[in-house]
Amino acid sequence: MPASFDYLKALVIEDNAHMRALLRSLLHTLGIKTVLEAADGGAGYVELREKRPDFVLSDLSMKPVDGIEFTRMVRTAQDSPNPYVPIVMVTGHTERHRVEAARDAGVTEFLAKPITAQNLFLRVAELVERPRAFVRSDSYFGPDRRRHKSADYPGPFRRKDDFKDDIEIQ
Amino acid sequence: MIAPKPLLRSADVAEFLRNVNNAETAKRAERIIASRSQELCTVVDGYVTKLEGALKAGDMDALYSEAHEIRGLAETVGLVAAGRIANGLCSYLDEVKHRAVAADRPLLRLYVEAAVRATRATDDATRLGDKVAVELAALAARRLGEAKENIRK
Repeated sequence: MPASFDYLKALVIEDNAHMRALLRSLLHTLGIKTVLEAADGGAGYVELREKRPDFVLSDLSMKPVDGIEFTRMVRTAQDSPNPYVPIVMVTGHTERHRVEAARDAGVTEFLAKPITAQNLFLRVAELVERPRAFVRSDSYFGPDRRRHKSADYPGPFRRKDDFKDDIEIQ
Repeated sequence: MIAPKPLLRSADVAEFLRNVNNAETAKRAERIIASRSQELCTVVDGYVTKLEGALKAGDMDALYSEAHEIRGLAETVGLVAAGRIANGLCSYLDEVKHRAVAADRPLLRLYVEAAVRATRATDDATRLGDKVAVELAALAARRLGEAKENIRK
């Protein structure tokens, strides 16, 4: 029986052709038939503009345009076709400063290499089941970086949303 | 807060999640990884050869780049120790760059030799390779600590 989510389109940006092929095959097993591919962030941005994928899996280290720069372009460029598209950063980088730079560029989720099917599926399920709300400030636009709401959080309360329950629908 | 448009129609979410959590889906995925394992091990072996070349040439950027490829792919295809050794080498080189200190050549050689053994050796040696990864990480931390002390002096 054909899946009813056949319309879901993924974009895989990864400079390693072997890893790209592996990710494509694993996404197919989830029933995602359309998997677009690009070898760096620049080519990925072109695919995003032309084919409008629903979510992106992007490597971090690529040349000439890496995953962080790609994410910045998607979130902030004037000609970005979808600043809200979920971006999962697939990375072997465990160094804190690199992870923080990716987070601050507006990455939605991280998927650590080595890839396992289970971890990949969990990240994709997270995108589908719990889409992250976006925030906009003078210095940041992207998914809300606060993962948890703590009843004990003492402040500071700097966001408008800290004082109201309303959210804007895109 | 801005709520983005959901990826799937609400009626399709449950079916998608059922598919994600389906044991048959997991089995199919594992079969895919297994079927590509031999080919990917050969690819990792190629990166290890380039890693040796980068060390010989003293090319730190290439050394990092090849180690990064190994750590990204090796564990996925079962070369666990090779992946961890490569990850340790990347972390060390990243710290060296971050702190603007010179890389320790004997330490780099140990890392590369360990990665070679972990990729090409049989089971026993692979287990030893895992132990070597832990010891190398400790040695790297000690060397970086010494480098920091020298800067203070």
